[in-house]
Amino acid sequence: MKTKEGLRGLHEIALVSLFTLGNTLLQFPWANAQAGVTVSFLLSALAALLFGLGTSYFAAWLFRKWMRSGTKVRIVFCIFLAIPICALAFFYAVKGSRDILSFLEKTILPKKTGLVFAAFFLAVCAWLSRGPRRGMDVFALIAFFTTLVAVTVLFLLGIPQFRTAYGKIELPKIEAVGASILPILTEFAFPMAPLGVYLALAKPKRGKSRSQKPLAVGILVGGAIMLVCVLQTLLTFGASFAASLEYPYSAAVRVVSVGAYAFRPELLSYFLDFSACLIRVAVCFSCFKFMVGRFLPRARNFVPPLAALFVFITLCFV
Amino acid sequence: MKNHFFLPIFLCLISFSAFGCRAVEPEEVYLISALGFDRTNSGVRVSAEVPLTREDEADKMEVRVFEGEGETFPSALEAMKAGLAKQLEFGHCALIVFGDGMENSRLDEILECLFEWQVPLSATVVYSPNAGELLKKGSLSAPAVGYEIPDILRLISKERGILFQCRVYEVASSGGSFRIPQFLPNGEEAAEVDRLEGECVYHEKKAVGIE
Repeated sequence: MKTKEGLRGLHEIALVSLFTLGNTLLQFPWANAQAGVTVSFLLSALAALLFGLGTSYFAAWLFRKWMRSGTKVRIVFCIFLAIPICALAFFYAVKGSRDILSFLEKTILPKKTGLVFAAFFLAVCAWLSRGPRRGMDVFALIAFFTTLVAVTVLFLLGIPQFRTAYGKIELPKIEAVGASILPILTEFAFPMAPLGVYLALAKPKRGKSRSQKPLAVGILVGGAIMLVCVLQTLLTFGASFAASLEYPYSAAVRVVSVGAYAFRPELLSYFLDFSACLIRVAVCFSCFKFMVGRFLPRARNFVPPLAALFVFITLCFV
Repeated sequence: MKNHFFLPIFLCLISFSAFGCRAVEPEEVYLISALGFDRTNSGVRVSAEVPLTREDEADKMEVRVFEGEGETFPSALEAMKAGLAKQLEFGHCALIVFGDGMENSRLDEILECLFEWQVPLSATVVYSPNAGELLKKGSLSAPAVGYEIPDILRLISKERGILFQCRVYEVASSGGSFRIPQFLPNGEEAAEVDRLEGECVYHEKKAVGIE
């Protein structure tokens, strides 16, 4: 029993880590961050941690305790609070899908097949979030260990390209932080809201108090993985040039070379980007499912396919 | 549970294998191995080296150099494309040659073009007074100049311990101050490695001399 609980904790850490990477990894470090991006990154990781924990605590208290023992007024109030959370989850599902699709279209996919690929991608996300939670947990665990291997291998292979001159950590200028504060919040901190709600509401058994430890550890592990990726990008390109690239980490691993017979090791990073975005969108769908399930328990299983359909329709126009 | 886990994996694999290749077949494109940038009286010239395999003799490779002129590099490329039957693919480009006069705004324009055309960031950048001529004179040891010069630099780097920082991303991230090897066209020197004729030094986007 204890082993099962421990494994559950590991699954959650894996899931949270991959969610933290999500589509944020694709575009980090952000334009305008310039020098001091490492410090900005650490600030953003802290913001994500606080936001994630805060949302999770608040959602657990609101939707599990306060609403359950409440009157109709409380339920109506909760519905009003659920709407912006669902809107946020929808926004991040669309953003995650759009980002990975435009990235793949610009790198490995042929043009004009994006929407067909989007249909496959969203079908997988809907399937993962519709089924038992264990399916997503196992997928997250396998993807997480593959991600760890990929990031480590790519970092070690990238060491010969590093320039020590770029390793100097600078404090960001106030204007630079000001310019990057919105991307920091929208890319790193706010997505933690659907995750916090998902973890707060996805509790399998009633009555047991839920530990926030996997969420905190998961965000820290995800932040640490991203820090390795950000450092690889910065040490290869420097902050200024990295900020001018559309997909800095992908570009940084593309210049990695391991000799004449083992080329294109950057293919490892495609799996990382794909699985992290997949988990982020699937968790957003699950957040929908649990939110709707609070108020309409019978409708909850129809929510992920419907959400996938709406996201697909939105992708056709954005 | 098994179904819930394996179906997503299966769908991922199917989707990647179904769409994981470009719609254009290799026979339908010219794979560029090197690009040259020169100044002309009326504007600029872009030269592209393209290795071609012959259908009847797959082991023999013919190398052609296409050229286009225009007021800007994009317009020069358009002029080059106008005379070609196939599309140009820059993903295999391994060498960029700067000719004379590639300074200041021209340098910025070249780098912008390289990013826009999706030339690999790891491509090697060298200097030659006449970039087009360097490509046209051909190579001795490799099928194309685009593959020969990076090999020569690797060899020199290994044997003499010289560290060249002359790849596209190193030039682009240098802030305009960098050094790139100068190469002479094939035929002017006896040995391949002797074609390396010092390094062209750029300071604040201006070529200040050969060292």
